[in-house]
Amino acid sequence: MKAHDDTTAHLPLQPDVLQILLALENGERHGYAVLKEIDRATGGTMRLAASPFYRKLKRMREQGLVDEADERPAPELDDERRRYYRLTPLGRAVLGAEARRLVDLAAHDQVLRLARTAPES
Amino acid sequence: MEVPRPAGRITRLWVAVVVALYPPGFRSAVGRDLSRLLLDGARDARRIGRGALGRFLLANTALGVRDAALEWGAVIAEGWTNGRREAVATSWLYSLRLAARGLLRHPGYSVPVLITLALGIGANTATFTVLNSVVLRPLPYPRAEALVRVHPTDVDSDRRLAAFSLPDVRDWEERSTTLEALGAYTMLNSDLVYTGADDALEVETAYVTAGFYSVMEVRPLLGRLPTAEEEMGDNRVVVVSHAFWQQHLGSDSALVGMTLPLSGEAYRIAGVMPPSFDFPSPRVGIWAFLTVIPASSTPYHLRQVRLLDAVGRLAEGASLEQAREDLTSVAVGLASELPESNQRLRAATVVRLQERVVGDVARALAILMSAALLILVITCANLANLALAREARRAPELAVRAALGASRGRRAGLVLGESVILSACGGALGLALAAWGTRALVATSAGALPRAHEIAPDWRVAIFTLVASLVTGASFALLASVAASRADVSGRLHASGRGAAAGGMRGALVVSQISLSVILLVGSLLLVESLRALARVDPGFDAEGLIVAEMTFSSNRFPERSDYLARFDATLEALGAVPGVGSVSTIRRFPFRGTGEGARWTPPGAAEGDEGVPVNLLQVSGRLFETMGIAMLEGTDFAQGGDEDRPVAIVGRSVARTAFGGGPTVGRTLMVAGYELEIVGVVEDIRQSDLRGDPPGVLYLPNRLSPRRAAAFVVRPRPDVAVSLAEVRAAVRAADARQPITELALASDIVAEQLMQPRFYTLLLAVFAGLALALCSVGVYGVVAFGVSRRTREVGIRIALGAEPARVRSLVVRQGMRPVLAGIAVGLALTLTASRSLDTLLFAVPRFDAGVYLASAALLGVIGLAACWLPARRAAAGRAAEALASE
Repeated sequence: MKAHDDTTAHLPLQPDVLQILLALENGERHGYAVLKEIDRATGGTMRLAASPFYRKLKRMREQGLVDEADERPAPELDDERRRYYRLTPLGRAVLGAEARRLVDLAAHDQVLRLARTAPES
Repeated sequence: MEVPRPAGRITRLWVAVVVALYPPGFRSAVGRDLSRLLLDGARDARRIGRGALGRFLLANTALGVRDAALEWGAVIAEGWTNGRREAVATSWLYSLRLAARGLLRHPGYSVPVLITLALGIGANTATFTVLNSVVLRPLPYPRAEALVRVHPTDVDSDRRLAAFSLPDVRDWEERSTTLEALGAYTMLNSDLVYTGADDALEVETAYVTAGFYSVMEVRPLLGRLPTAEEEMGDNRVVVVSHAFWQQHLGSDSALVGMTLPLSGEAYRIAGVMPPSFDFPSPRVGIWAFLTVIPASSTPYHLRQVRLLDAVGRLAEGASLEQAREDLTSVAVGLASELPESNQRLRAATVVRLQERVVGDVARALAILMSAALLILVITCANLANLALAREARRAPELAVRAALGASRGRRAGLVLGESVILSACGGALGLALAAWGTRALVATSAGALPRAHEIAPDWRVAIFTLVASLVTGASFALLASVAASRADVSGRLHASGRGAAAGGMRGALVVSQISLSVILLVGSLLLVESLRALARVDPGFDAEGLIVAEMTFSSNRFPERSDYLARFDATLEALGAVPGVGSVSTIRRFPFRGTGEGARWTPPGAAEGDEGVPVNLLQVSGRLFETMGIAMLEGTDFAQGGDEDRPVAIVGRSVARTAFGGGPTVGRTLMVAGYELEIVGVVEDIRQSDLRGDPPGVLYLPNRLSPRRAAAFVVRPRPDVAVSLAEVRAAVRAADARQPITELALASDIVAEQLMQPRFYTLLLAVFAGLALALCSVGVYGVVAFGVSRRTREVGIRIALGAEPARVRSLVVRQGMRPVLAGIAVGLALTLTASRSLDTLLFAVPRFDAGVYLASAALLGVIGLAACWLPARRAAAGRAAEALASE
C-alpha cells in the first residue's frame, strides 16, 4: 500500500503542477514545449513565468513526479540541444489519482448545480 | 515549412543579461534551460513580427527582474534560517518578502512613491554635495582651519580694511604672539614672461614672501620650497603650478633644480606644487619672491607702499579673538612708533581664510539648501499621503490577515517592510539622480562657484543621503504602520475604513505641501525678476561686437617711458590696419577686469586735511569713448596728440554731479594727487566691477600724461563687419612676435560673466519650485481622487436621486480646494517672513513684490483646481448603477 500512500499524499494538486503533469502525459517534452502546451490547453488563462516554472519542476523532480530525459535536439525548432522531461511512474499515478478526484468532485450534485448556474466569469 | 532563423545577437545578449540576474545556485541548476526557453519564446514572437518581439522582450525583462528578486530573497532567507537567529529572522524576512511581492503587484502605488523619493532625495543630495564641497569641507591645504586673512584696519574711516606694506608684514610677523607665521603676497605686479616656448607667454605670477610658504605648509609635489635665506640673497627662485609644469614644461621632473628663462632672467625651479594648491588664485602659474621686483618698478621697501595681502597661520591653541587683540596691539604699537605712515592703522581684522574664499557663496548655498530641504518636507508629505491612501485601500486585506491571526506586530511589520524596501530603492535611485544632478550643477555653475573643481561626494554626502532616506522613509512608514496595526477585525471587514482622522490628516498634509510650495515659488519668481532687472542694467558702454585684448609692455624689453609709449602707438596702428576694424583705443583696465588706481579728488583750494572723495583713475589713449560707445555728455574727447603736457581729465557723470552739483563742468578743475586737472569733458558713468549698486566715480587721464605700461586694447569693428579674435591676435603677433596677450575676449562675454552667478542661483531655485509644483499637483490629485473613490457609493446615490453632474463636480472641487486655499494662505504668510533670507540675492526687486505673490498664489490655485477637476469630472460622469454596484 506504500504506492497508494505516496499517491494520495500529493493530492490535491496545485493547478500549475496539474498542468505540467498533463502537458507531459503524452510523452517527453522540453521546457518551452511544456509551457506552450499549458498555454494552449488552458486557452492562455494560465501563464507561467520562467523561474517559477523551473522552481516548480525542480520541486516535482525532488518529489519524484517528473524525471529528466536525455538531451537532444528539438525537431520543430532547430538543432540546438534541449533537456527533455517525462513523467515518472509515480507522476503518472498521481495524475491519475488527481483525475479521479476531480471526476468525483465534479459528480457531486452541488458542484454540478453551481457549474450550471454560476455566470461565466 | 519556414526555416527558423537563429536568434539575433541583441536577443542573445538580452537573454544573457536576464539570466545573469539570478543567483548562482539557480543559474547552475537551470540557467541553460532558462536561456533556451527565453530564446525559443523570442523566436516565436519574432515570427509574428517585430512588435511582438519587442513586447515579449519588455514583458520578460520585467518578469525576469521580479523572479530574480524573488530567487535572491529565497536564497537570503535560506541563509538566515540556517543561522542562529532563526525565528526572528524568518518572521522578519517573511514580512520583507511579502512586502516585496505586494509592491511588485501594485505598481500604481510603488512607482509614484519611488519617483517622489528619487526626486526629493536626488535634489537634496545634489545640493548638499555642492554645499559640502564648496563651503563645509576645509580648504585643500594642510591644517587649513588655522589659516586666516589678516588686514591692518583704518579706525578713523569706518574700519576700512587696508593692505600691508612689506615692512609692516615683517614687523607684524615678528611681534605677534598668536600667529605661527605671516606671509604676504600680491598679484598686482607684472607677470613674468616665459620665453622658453615658441611664443612669449605671460604667466600669472604671485609674488610672495618666504613667510607665505611657511604659512601654507604645502608640500611640493616635486623638489622643495624656496627658503628665507634665498629670499634675502639669491632670490631668483620660483615654484611652478602643476598645470604650468604639465602644459609648458612637459611634466619633466628633471627640470626641478634647473633654470627657466623668465622675463629675460634665469630663474631656478625649486619645485612643482601639487595640483590642489591654487592659492591665491587657480590661475597662478608661478610663485616668485616679492624681493625680485626692482624698487624702480614698485618701491616695496617703503612703509607707505601698501599693496600686499597677507595670510597667517594661528599658533596652536590661539583663537580668532585672541589673534585680533594681539595684532591690534601690534598695530597700535607701530602707529605710535611710526605716526607718519601708520597713524591711522590702529586695529587688525582677522578672518578665517575659508570664510573669505567662500563667504558670499556660503550664504547663497545655505538658502538653496533650505529650499532643497523644503522639497524634502514636501516629499515626505506626498509620501505620507500615498501611504495613507494605500493603507485605507488595503484595510480589508489587513483585516483578513488580522482575522487569520496575524499579530499586530506582524501587520505593522508588513507595512514597515514595504516602506523600508521603498526607501532603500528610492534612496538608491535618488543617489543615481544626484550623481547626474551634481554633474549638471557643476556644468551650469561655470564661473559662478569657487572651488567648483573640488566638487565631489564624500563620506559626509553618504551620511546625509542615508539620513535623508531614512527620515523620509520613516516619516511615512510610521504613519502607515501605526494605522495598519490598529486595523480592527470586525469594523474593517465590511466598511472600507475611511475615518475622519485620516481625512483630516490628508487635508493637513495638502495644506503643508501647498504652503511650502508657495515659499519656493515666490522665492524663485523673486530671483527671476531680479535676474531680469540685472540683465537690463546698462553697463554704460556698448559691449556688442567689441574685442578686448589686455597687454603689458614689459619693463625688461621697454625700460623707458618713450619705449613703451611707442609700442602703444605701434600696436594701435597695427590693430587699426586689420580689415574691418573701425577704431582702436586703450583703457588701463577694462570694466569687470579691474577698477584702475584708487585716488581721491578735492576741490581746488580745499582746506588742509580735507580727505577728498574716492575716485578710480583710468589712463586711456585713442578715441576711447567713441570706441567703447560711452556717451559724451559735455565737452569733448582728449585732443589727439595735443595736450601731452597739459594736465587735463575727463570725468564720469557721478563725479561731475558730486563736485559741481550738475552745473557746467567743462573748464573747471579738480585736485588729484597734488595735480590740478582741468576737466575737458563729462561722460556717462560705466560699471567697473558690479552691475549692482551705484556706478563708481571714474576719472580718465590721457595715458601720455600719466603713462602706464599695461592696458586693455579695445577694438571696435565697423558696423556689419565681423572681426575675429584670431585676426586680432595675428595682428599683435605680426607687429611684435614676442608680445604676449594676457587676455583676449569679447566684451559681451565679459559682461555676460556678471550674470553667471545670479543665473545659477535662479536656475536652481526655479528647478526646485518646478519640482515642488509637480509634487504638489500629484499630492492634491492623489488626495482628491482617493476621496472620490471612497465616496463612489455616496456620489452614485446622489446622482440616482437626480443630482446634476455639474453640482456633483462642484461639490468635489469645493471640498478638494479647501485645503489648497488654506495652504496658499498659510504659505503667503510664511513667505512674508522667510523672504528676508533672500534679501542678499535680490536686486532691484522688493521682497514684498505684490505681483510676484499674487502670481504665485494664482499659479498654485490653478494647479490645485486642475488637480481637483480631473477626479471631479470622473465622479460626475460615473453612472449611478455602476457606483452602487461597486461595493
